[in-house]
Amino acid sequence: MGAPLLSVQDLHVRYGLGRRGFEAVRGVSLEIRAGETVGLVGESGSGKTTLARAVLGLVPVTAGSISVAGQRVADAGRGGRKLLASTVQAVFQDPYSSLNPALKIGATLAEPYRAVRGGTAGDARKLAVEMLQRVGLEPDAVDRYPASFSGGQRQRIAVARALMASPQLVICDESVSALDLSVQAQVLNLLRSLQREYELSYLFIGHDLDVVRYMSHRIVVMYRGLVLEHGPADQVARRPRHPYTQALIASAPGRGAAPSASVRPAATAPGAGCPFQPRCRFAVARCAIEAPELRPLDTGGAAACHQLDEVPAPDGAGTQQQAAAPGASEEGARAHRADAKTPMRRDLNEK
Amino acid sequence: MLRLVIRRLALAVPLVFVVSFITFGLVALTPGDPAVDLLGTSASRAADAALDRQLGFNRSIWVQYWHWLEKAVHGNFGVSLLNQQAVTTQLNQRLPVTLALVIGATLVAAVGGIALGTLSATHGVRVGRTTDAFAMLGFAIPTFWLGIVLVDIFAVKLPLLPATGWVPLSQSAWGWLKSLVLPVVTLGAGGITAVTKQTRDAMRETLTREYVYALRADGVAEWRIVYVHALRNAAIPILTLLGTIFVGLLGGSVIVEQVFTLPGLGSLAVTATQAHDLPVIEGIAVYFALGVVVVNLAVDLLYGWLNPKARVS
Amino acid sequence: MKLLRQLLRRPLAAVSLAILTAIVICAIFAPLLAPDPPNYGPLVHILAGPSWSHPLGTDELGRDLLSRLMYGARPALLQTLEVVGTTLLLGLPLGLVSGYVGGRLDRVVMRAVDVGMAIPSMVVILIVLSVFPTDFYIATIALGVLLVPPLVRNIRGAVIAVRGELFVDAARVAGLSRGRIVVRHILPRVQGPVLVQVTLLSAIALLFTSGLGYLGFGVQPPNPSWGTMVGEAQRYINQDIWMLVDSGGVLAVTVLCLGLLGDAIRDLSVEAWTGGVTRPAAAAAAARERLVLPASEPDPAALLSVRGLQVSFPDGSGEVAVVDGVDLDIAAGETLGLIGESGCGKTSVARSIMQLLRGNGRVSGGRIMFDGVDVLGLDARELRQFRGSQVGYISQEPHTGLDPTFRVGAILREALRAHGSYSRQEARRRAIELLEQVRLPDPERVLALYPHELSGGMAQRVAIARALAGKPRLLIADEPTTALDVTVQAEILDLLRSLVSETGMALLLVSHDCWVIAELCTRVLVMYAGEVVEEAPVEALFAAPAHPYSRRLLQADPRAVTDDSKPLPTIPGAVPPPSTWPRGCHFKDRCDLARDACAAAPVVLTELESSRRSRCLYAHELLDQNLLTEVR
Repeated sequence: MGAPLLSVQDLHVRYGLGRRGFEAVRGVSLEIRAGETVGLVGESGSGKTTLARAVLGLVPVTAGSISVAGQRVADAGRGGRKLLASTVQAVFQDPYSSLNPALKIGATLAEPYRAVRGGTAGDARKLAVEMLQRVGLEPDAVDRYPASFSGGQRQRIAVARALMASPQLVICDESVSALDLSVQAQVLNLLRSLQREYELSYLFIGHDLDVVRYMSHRIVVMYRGLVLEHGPADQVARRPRHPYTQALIASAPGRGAAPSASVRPAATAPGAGCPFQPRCRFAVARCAIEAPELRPLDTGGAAACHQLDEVPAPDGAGTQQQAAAPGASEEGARAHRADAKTPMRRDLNEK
Repeated sequence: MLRLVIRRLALAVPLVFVVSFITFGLVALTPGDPAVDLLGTSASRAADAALDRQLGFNRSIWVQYWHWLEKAVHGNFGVSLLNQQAVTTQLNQRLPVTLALVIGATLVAAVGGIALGTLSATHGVRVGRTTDAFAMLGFAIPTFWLGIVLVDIFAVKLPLLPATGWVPLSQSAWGWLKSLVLPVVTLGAGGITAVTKQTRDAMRETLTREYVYALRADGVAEWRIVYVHALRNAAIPILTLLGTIFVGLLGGSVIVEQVFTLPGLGSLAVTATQAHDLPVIEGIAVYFALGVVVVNLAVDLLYGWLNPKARVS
Repeated sequence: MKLLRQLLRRPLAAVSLAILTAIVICAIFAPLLAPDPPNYGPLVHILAGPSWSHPLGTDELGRDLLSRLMYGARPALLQTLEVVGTTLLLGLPLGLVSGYVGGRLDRVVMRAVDVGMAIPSMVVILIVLSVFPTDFYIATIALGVLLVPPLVRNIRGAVIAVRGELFVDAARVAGLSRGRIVVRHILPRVQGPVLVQVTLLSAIALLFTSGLGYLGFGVQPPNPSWGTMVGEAQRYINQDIWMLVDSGGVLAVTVLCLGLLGDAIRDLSVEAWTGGVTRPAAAAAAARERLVLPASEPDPAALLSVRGLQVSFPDGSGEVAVVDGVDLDIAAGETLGLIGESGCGKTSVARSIMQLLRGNGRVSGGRIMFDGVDVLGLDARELRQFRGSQVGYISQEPHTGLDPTFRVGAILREALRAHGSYSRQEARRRAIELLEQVRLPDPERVLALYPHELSGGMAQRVAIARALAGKPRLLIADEPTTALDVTVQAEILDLLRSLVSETGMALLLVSHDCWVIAELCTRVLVMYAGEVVEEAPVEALFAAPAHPYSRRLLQADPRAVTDDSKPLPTIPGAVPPPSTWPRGCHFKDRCDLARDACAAAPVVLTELESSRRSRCLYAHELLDQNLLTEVR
């Protein structure tokens, strides 16, 4: 099997100084092997973007280690940065500000190639045209400015740029979150076909569990700086064991189920216990005092919950067995029933 | 809030130091011997030396500065070399003039600029261009020239207002106002441009915010939206600018006091400069610096009141 | 270079540049160009006005004013260069480094800048002048130093703004060294502000030094400088007005040109960095000819009835319609969903009902009837009363809809006061009621909070409370949960559902997420490229979409995927921008069912069964196909 391409060990990342500081990542470990996609799911404040930025070398690491292709990133000097750039690239979320509006596409695409591979301008241009075509754009795009492209097109350009350095790992930080559904589908298809063609690994970050499931082999669920659950994509997205992951699925609109998490704003800094405790319906006294460790599950993943045995295992739909909660309107219930009947929802009935 | 005040006051100390040290240092570099200037060339060298010793000019510059500082902290800025009057007395006499002038001019710039800027931001393009042009003129026309022109029109051709001179408030309120009008307008005109531009930009930007539309959706009256909500949000950069303008107007007041022959700190500064009257210049520099500190403090406090986020951090 | 060419295209900037260039030339070549030597005063025509021999008149010694002004340009130019040169030399590197490096260096520099900006420059310069009366250049250099703090602040701000841009992060990830990033990405962005500052500094320097000249410092008579000439003019103002006009005029004109030039450069830089970034991209094109179909009559039984709604925005050369003939009915207490992707016009539809279109958008056609009232015909006062009391509106971003300088209590009071007069206690009581209605725990504490102290979910609840203050009969919610986390989203949707059933108000829910619509609405309108393409009850739409776009849209959702190993079904191409909408069906270029008839003429929304309509000529085929797949 060989060493993993990316290895993150007990990572801690802290913003700000002293008392006013804030720890965005509080001890996260994960691994990505060659050719696999690991999905990272979390809501705002989960620390997933900070993790990505730390792997890319954009924010300093407070504790723990990040190793890429066997090399520790933190120790990187000038040469280390180059190694990092030749192995790991990124596609960011906002297609409108990730491309310098004053530079032509060709110039933007040439940057990673020339910085990492050291080619000439001519070589860079040739490769850029090739890449643009590969992502589904016309070759003349190389001489145009970002302003003349739509959001979806710009994201493709961003993908092309990421590939110019011939990386082995691409970090997709909410790369499709800002796109419309039909455009999102195009970009996701593109990412998957590129993965096959170039044998890429992805760290695919998102907040939509279904999109992440579609793209990933394994999924890691983060909440407030900690990993609460991880495992094979299908397991985590359809039959999660952790109450938070179950809440994520239950909250997705159209399921017809009442939200299982409480209203509490939870804006306070995380304390000693489980970060999800204030909103968890299964929480007991222990949860507020002691942070749970990740316990391996028989499904091949792991979950960090003291009450794992108390939390009912979900059925195929990923929601818990429960009667329609009071307050759920007729419309919601109807939609839920309709779900079971429509041809597109066959997957729910099959399992 | 208290932290803000302390922080701003903490800034005041280095400022006053810097200003007074610069002043002191520069004047101390003056070639020649101040005693010679004072006593004239016919005095004997012994007399020069004696006066030097008396005034402390024979000591090293650091010692001289230290002595000055010691006395200054107690409010004693020494004695004018020209007329032997206490510096603080002279300055305090002239302070109301400069204060009235500069504060009045700042108000003119603030009120005029905010009004023009808001007008420009809330009405169409045509009005915007007109106010722009008007404000631009205010910027381009030199203050001293404007003063001269205004005097010619309003004091000579139409004898409505006094051309020069100053009527103290204690003597006649009406006279005081009349003697202030032209100088304040002259000085403030230069500041109006910057305030207009800043207000216009800030208001325009604020009026595109979503909460403006939300307020409209609730049926809130348009005047409230513009003057209570938008202006309050736009006020922050405007306030900061006003603080900077005040400093600039302090400088401009020197010129305006010359044009209108006003007995303020500025005109005293010019004569003191020409006569190398160090204690007076020192005193004026410190007074100006303190004025800036007070204004900046006021701006900061207003800032905190207007912008809740600033208060929390 | 490019900037120069762009500047010359603007008339004001071009003229300013020309005048400034002329003045510089006069200054440099004064001995060659001036009619007379500067101090040549034969005492013949003294204090004369303009004439052929003396175009600008003469002064009290008979000297030609034009020549004196030209020679006076020399010290003006020289002094300005000294000041600005000093400031740039010291301030530019400091601002660049401080902004880019940040950290402790930046903090120290900013403290120094704060102190520096508070130094009263005039007094210090006067002191310098008294110390070095014969060396004016020392004063100009000192002035240059005193102008460093504002320049540093300005440049540093510009650098920080660029440094935070995502494309700088992308460049770092791409492996560029710090130096290359500064040169390629930061400096070009800073170029504009630097040039603007140069013009501003030049103007300040010129005004300052000529002020000093007026006070008698600097160039001494008989040599001319603009400032001293104003001083001389003051003495002879009663005998000859031209001296004053000429000297002041030349100063004013020069500064004016500098100011106009600075403004033009600033406008150009802003354009260069935001040019054309409108989402979605709307290319400028001539407005195409529209075939206007007669709109049907509004439904008197409905609470809200919209017919033939057309919304237009100005583009480069005229107007373009982003909503092109939309019909909509909502009955009292009904929940209607409006689905579509970006660029379809759904937000414009929602906002136009209360005339809240952003920017310069306007309703360019159609009728909007609310409970028998013609909304588009209301005058300003009536419209204000209509808003909030009949219809409420909440928008996408929870925090941006709340005035950040107002506490929650004051925000609610503002909304309440718009529709009734309340005493302070009544208003407070009512505000607490509203907060309880939106299920915010501890409402009394929330009243005292500012928007930035609220979480996303809380802020959206406050926004809903605000919208309910006037007890509207219809609530328009434009993507109310898009910016929220999915767990919070569920709570808000649940809240909206209960509010609808508790108050009996109708709801128009706009979203790009079909599942959100499915959660709350009974009926759905699907929009594409400015038109409604399908209208159906929610389950019918999900079970059997009757328009190719609806079908494709529902299929592209990863939630609908049955086999993860296959690519997602996509819609080829992209949404056409409003100016390129074809005459026939707007979807035809991306549709797999398209035939010739689709391009021929605009397709009308036709009724399929009761309460189902579709804008597809082949809707029935589609429905049959759906049945087939269901059976299989």
